[in-house]
Amino acid sequence: MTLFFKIEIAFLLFTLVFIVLRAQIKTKTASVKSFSAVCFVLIFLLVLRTCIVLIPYATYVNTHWVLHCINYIMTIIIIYCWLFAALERLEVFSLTESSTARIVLGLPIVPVIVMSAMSPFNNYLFKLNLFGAPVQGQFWFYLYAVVALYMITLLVPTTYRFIKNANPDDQKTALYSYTLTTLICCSLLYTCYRQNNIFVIINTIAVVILYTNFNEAKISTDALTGLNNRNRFRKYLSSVMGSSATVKSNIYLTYIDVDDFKAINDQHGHLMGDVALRTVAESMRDVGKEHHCFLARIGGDEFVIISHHQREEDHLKMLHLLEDYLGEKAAIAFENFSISFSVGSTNLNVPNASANELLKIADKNMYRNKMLKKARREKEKLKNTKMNDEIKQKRNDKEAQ
Amino acid sequence: MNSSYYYAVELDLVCICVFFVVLINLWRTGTKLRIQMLSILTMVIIQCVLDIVTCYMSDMHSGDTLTLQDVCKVNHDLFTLLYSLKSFTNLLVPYAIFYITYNFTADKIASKEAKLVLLSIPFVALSYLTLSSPISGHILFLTFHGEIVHGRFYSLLVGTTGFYSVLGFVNVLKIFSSKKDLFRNITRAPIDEICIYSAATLPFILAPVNLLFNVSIVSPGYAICLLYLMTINLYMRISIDDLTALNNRNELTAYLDNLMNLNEKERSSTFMLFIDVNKFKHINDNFGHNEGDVVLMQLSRLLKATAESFNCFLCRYGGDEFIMIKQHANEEKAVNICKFIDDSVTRLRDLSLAPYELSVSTGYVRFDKRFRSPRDFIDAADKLMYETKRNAKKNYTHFNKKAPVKISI
Repeated sequence: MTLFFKIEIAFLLFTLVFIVLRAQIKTKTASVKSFSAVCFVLIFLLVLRTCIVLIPYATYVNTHWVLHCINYIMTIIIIYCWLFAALERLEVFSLTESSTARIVLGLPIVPVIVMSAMSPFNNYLFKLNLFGAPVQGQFWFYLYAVVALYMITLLVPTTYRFIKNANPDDQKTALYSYTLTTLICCSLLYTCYRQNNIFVIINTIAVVILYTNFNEAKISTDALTGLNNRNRFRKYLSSVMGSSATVKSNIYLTYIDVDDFKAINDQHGHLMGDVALRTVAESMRDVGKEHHCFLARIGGDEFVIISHHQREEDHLKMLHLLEDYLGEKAAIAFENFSISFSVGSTNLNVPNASANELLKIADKNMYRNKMLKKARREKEKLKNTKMNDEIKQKRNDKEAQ
Repeated sequence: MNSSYYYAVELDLVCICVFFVVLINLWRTGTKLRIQMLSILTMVIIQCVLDIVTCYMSDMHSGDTLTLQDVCKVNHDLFTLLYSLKSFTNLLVPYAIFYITYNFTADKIASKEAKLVLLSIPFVALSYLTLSSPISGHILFLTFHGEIVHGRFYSLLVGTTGFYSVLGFVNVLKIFSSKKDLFRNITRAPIDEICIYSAATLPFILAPVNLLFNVSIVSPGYAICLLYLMTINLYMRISIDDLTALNNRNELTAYLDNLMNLNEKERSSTFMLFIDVNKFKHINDNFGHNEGDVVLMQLSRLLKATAESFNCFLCRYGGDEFIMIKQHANEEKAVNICKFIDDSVTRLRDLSLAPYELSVSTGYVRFDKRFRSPRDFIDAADKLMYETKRNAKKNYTHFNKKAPVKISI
């Protein structure tokens, strides 16, 4: 009966990991390599443990030694993969993408591999007792040291993210991934101490949780710019609309639109259009670092900022800052042509206005600004065309001569 | 604790964890089906908890320290009650699934309510028998050795569970066949089809098996199925555009990646059609974004019907641009589809009383071997679209008379 349950648990865990892995591969995201690696190693580990359960120790002693060696090596490798999966989730790409970081953090694994390979002869890391269960060896503490090292490595970026990021969802993610990794490490130590399969169970559940968390984040962010998308914006706006009038009078909604975005797309191709959108998103993020803001992209070339300010001057200051950033970034990104943006904003404290009406007001303000700009530009254009006509006429005259 | 009970409890705890993950995820989605799905999840979780509690109690009963008299003292009423409740949840979950799926499929049947009442009679009878069995002992009773033994009507319980399982399974199959297009969206690879069918069958097989042999495989089965369904749900939410309910750009890249693997002959019979709304910016600027959204939704409905009748892949590429991919076609067919779309949009414009001009530009390009990556292909289609658009802007009728312009790169 016990054997039946053991195999059933292994089968259940195997299927769960497999489902997640399959779904992850299907969505085709490039930035989850370590996560997929975790899934693969976990599947391997599960198969290995089932083998250990199924093969009788009394007749196959040597096989058991080899299987346990591989088991320890895989265990430490899966923790290494978890470290990078957590870093990926926290979007610390400077660490995950450099090969030096991978190698340096991977170095502590080498002694573990060597020691566990030597264990059948010298009992460095573990030894098998009469019943075929592993017992702690001479240099067992080294395993603790490696795990502690990884935990500290992960703690630094997590704390940084937690303090720096104002977005509560990002904070939650940071907390999530750190708690999960801690749990995994603790369960490893517990499992090694008392023979059971808590380690693989916690691993599987962590895989499932991280997968859902990752996809939730993907659903509510815009793929191109990484800002919040329309869904999240609607939710946030309705939650803010529910607060009292005094709070609402300190909140402003700003609408940003790229002028003649269609023309950019038509003349310079979609790639250039994408660059323009990213420029806007970047400058919005820079503004968001200095003020308490909610940023979202709600349509093709429409962006929205919901910001909290104590005074109206602060809001105006923010708008100026935004325009400055946009101008700077656009000048760097585009050499051949110039892009410009129209901005319109409204206070949230409009009596009896629904979320849609507020958006409309901001939209209208923006169009007014846009029309003003256009009128100004058309005047300039007229001047230019006049000059051009004069030049042409001169040229024609010359040709006639 | 007995080690086999230890592993049984561990198994149930894993299942409960998975159920909670699915439950939280479901709570956040905010779909219409939320309440029904949540009720099923709660039942399944209760079943798991009952399983753990009965495991723990039977472990206490079978301990060496307890004599026969002690067994009679230790809450044996509570034990039988919990055990019969556990059997009841085994009956309840298939019935609940049947009930929910019945409400879905039976919209057209006239005497819907009456039939439901008729079909619910066995459930009511069996639930009475099961819940009263601590007193009457019809379904289960406790011997003096602290063992649970099947009563007279136990086979009835198994039979009824099987009955509802079969009905529920038939209803699920009906739902699948009624939502063919969505189903096709999910199951592009044949393995997905197998997976989804087995996920639909598994819970229905498991409930009677669990009652017959008293092995705890029903909760793991539910855990696997629900997790699988959750991944499908997440996938749908990621790769389907929320305004128009068409495929989005993610899906297009995946589809094109698949196309890259085709052989030369199949590739050259594949056409990409690019559809773009003329002067969409004008509509947006003058009539507001809401009006623009309405236009997009109407157009997407029209295109979806077209894609279905011509058996094409359709996606919203961005803003007001749509992409259709037709496999196994020739140029004539591609031209036909373009014309068909043009005509139907013209008809739509004539029918609607909208104050703006609504028309689309279409163009097509063949998937030759000169396109090495999906990116090239999209770029080519992009360029082609501007070409056709320029023509269309000058003189719309010109475009209808002549075949769409083919570009050379």
